[in-house]
Formats: sequence, structure tokens, C-alpha cells
Amino acid sequence: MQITHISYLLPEKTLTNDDLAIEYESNWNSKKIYKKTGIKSRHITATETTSQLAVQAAEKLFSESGFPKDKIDFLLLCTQSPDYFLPTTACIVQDILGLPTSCGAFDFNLGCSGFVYGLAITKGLIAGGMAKNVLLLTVETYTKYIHPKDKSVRTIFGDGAAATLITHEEGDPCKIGEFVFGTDGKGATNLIVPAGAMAMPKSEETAKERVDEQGNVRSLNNLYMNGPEIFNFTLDIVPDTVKSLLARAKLSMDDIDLFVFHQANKFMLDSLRDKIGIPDEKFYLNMEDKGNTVSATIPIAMKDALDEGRIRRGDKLMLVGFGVGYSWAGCIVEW
Amino acid sequence: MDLKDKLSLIAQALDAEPEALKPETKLEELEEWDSLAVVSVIAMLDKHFSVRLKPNDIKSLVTVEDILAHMKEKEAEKS
Repeated sequence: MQITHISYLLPEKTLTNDDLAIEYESNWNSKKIYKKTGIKSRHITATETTSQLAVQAAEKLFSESGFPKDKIDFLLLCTQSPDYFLPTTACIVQDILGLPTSCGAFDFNLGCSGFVYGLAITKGLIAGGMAKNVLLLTVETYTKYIHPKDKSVRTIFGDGAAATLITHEEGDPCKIGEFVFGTDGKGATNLIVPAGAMAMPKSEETAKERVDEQGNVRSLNNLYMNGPEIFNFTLDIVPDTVKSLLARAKLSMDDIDLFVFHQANKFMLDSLRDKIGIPDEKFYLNMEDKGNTVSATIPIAMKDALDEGRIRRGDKLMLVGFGVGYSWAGCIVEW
Repeated sequence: MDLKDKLSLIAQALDAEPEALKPETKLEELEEWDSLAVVSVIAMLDKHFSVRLKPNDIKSLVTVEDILAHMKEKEAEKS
């Protein structure tokens, strides 16, 4: 069992720091946004939906890898911005892609930890003999939730879709290794779209705009992130996650060839790298022209690292995702 | 670490000039004091003093002195 191929797709439209600086006309100039986030531009959807991005990323994967669609026997789609409450976006995607109707398919709702969870579900399906070739789609269009005048999130998030193919042949070694997971729902309100589902349906009241202490505007229909609290959360759990994953896999820091963390923002990742003591050259960063694409960041980073020659056959990678929920997960993958 | 060093660390976190900072300086009067600056201060305190600001600590940061207070705590613990 191994990851055979990764492809990704970003929407065409971009939002640069210069665009944002012009809009905000405050002390947030283009350079400051870059210095604080490590992001210069993000790709954002206009009218494209999650299923459309997912299909484009998957088609790219089939064309680049040459893997036949009719061999896919399971489709997993991770998103928090689905096309509909129901039906399941994975079912829509199965049909548009023309995957066999004998294929299993479902969505799962996770954010920044979603890719690692997707690998865990995949491993379970394959190890349990229920699937051989799994297409894992991690797709997010968070920018649809963002109020244009909320710079706290608009500077960070971008939209994107990643398609990852995991295949297994009888007798293959298992290259998707040990996992650790974590959940703390106490952090639920620190990264949230409060209104729109059943707990708080959209109404005139939820659409009312409010200005926060920092001058950011949003309504209850929009994405809200408590940046300082999220930062505290990552300082608390990520170093321990790395430690327990190494212990579980019976590996040391030196055994890991590349650390690929959820690409949240550069400032946060630099702080975590420093705290954990990961050497610079073993720590991959690539959000400069993409922003934080939530569950798509890890496979997008892996694909870029592969294309740059930063990942070689036989390398051991540590993947760690953390964020909304709170939810986090880490795993070791051998390339 | 003396006051000058501490102010310099705060200035670095806020991306401000050290000369602009005095213990009595009100944070909200600083152009640089925004959500990103808060995150930078959290990172600075965690890295240099192993102090973690709680949500209430963050809310009660009014002056530079309030940040300095957290920088003192750890030194006292060490000695």
C-alpha cells in the first residue's frame, strides 16, 4: 500500500497582497502581510464549487498518472464547503468523473487534519480488504465563507483541491505507517462558521455585520478565526504530536527526511519548527503563492516537494495536520 | 535580562522601533498593535520565557508594562 500519485488544482483567480493593501488602506501594506503570514498571493474561487475543483484535480491526476479510472474502487472526499447539505459531494464527483458505480464513496468533514485522517481511512479500507485503489480528494473553498472586510482570515486562506491516489497490490509493503490522532472540541468556537446549518440557520439576524476590535467586519454567516487562540493550541499540541508519533513509529527525529506540516501560515510554522527543533532543511514550506488551503495543503506541499526533488524514493516523511475542531493527526509515510 | 533587552524583544515582536516603547506606552496607541502582533507576543513569550498567555491574559494586555510583567514571572521562577 502506497501513495502512487498526487495532483492538485488551484482556481485561476488570484488575490495578491497588493490587492489586499489597496482594499484595506490601513497600515497593512503588502510587505507587512507577507512578513507576518509568509503568503504573497492566494487562489480564490469565483463561481466554482467544491465538486468542480475536485473533478478538475482528479482529472489531472488520471491524465498525469495514466491510472485507469475503472480501477478506482473507493472515493473519499474531505471538505467543509460541500456543494449541498445533501447529497454527498463524493457521489456527484463519482458521476462526473465516470468512476465505476461499484465504487464506494463518501464525504468526511474535517479541516486542516483532513488529509492525514483520509490516509488513515484509506489504510483501514485497504487493510480490511474492502478496497485496493483509493482516490482521496481534499478540497476546500473556505474563501466563500470569508467576509471581504475581514483581513484576519482573508490574508491567510486560499482555495484549492488535491487528488491523491493510494494503491495496493497483493504482497506490497505498507508504506503508510503509524498514526496518532487528537481531538479537543473545547476549541470549536475558535475557528467556526457559526450560522448556516441546523444549530443556527441563516436569517436576517445572522447576516447582520459587526465590526470587531481590530476593525474586521463579519456576520455570523462568515468564517471566524481567533488567531491567538489557534496559535496557542498549535504550540500546545503539535510538539507533543511529533514526539508521540516518533515514539509510536520507533523513530528518532534524524530518521525523518522531510517534515510536511499543514501549511497554516509561515509565522506559525516557523515558531513550531523552532520549538520542536526541526532543522530548516528538513522542514517544507510552500504557502507563499497559495495561502492556507486547509485539508489540501499537505498533499499540495508533498507534490511541490516531489517536483523540486526534495522527496526521493525511500524517504520517510512526517505529515502533521492541525486546526479546526480542534482536530489534529500525524502519520509517517514512506515514499 | 535587563529592561532594555526586554523592550527590544517586545519591539521585535511588534515590528516597532525600540525607542518608541516605554513601560507606560499604551498598546492600542501603537499602530503596530493588531491581531498579528498579539500572536508575535505569544510566540516571543513562549520562546524566551516559556510563558503561555491565556485568553484572559491576552485581553488584559493594556500597556507595555503588562507584557513586561509576563517576562518577569519566568525569571523569578528560574531564580
